[in-house]
Amino acid sequence: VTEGRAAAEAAGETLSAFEVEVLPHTNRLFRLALWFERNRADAEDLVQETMVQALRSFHRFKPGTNSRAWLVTILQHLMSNRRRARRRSPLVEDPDDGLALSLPFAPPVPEQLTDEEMLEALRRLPDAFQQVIVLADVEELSYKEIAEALDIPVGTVMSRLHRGRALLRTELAAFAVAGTGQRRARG
Amino acid sequence: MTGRNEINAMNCRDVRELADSFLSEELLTETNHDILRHVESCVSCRNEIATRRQLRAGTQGCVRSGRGNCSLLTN
Repeated sequence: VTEGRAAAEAAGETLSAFEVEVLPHTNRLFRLALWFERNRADAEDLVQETMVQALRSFHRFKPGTNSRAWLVTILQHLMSNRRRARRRSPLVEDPDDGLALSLPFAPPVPEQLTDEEMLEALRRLPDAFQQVIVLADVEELSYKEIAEALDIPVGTVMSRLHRGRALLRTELAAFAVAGTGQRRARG
Repeated sequence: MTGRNEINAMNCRDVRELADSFLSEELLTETNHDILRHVESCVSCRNEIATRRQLRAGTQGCVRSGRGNCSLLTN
């Protein structure tokens, strides 16, 4: 009976710690899932799976480290498995060649940009670039945390960020040109 | 004879390469200082860093805005 009580108490403590460390990140994790999954139902499934996995693995979480980065790592692994199962394009395709390499310089960012234009420009980037940009700029994870979450070297995180941002600027510059065209057409 | 500061002084190319890491606070304090010293006298690099900062803020704002809350919390 005493052993049973001790086990129950330990489980209760784990749950309490889980509530403190993990649950406050649910909304932010959901926004990240929504960005990658692109629909609410899949995003909620993914967050739920992440939470279940996090609770199961909670004994491996090191107190004092960044619990949000730990959750993002779990979410990324689950998402990677899902994509493989769906036979969609691989999560971490190799974008380190082709168009991105040939970018000569980053053009200026247009001053008047709507949220929709920003979103569309970001959506046009290859997944691997979107992923590192969102994890760095929106989730504010460090390069090391992104590398761990995506299981890629830190150098690759840096080069993808650099190329992804340059590509993003190229996309945004295209909006400026289109906007000028529309204004001319109206005038 | 070239002084230490001149040897270590960053040029525009160095600053552009490190600008994103600078904004992500991923650099050593000394490197941050080298960049700051450069942009004090280089308008072009100062503008470039401001542009990148604006781009990051724009990305953050557009992804975070209007996304609602997770219904897992309310169901």
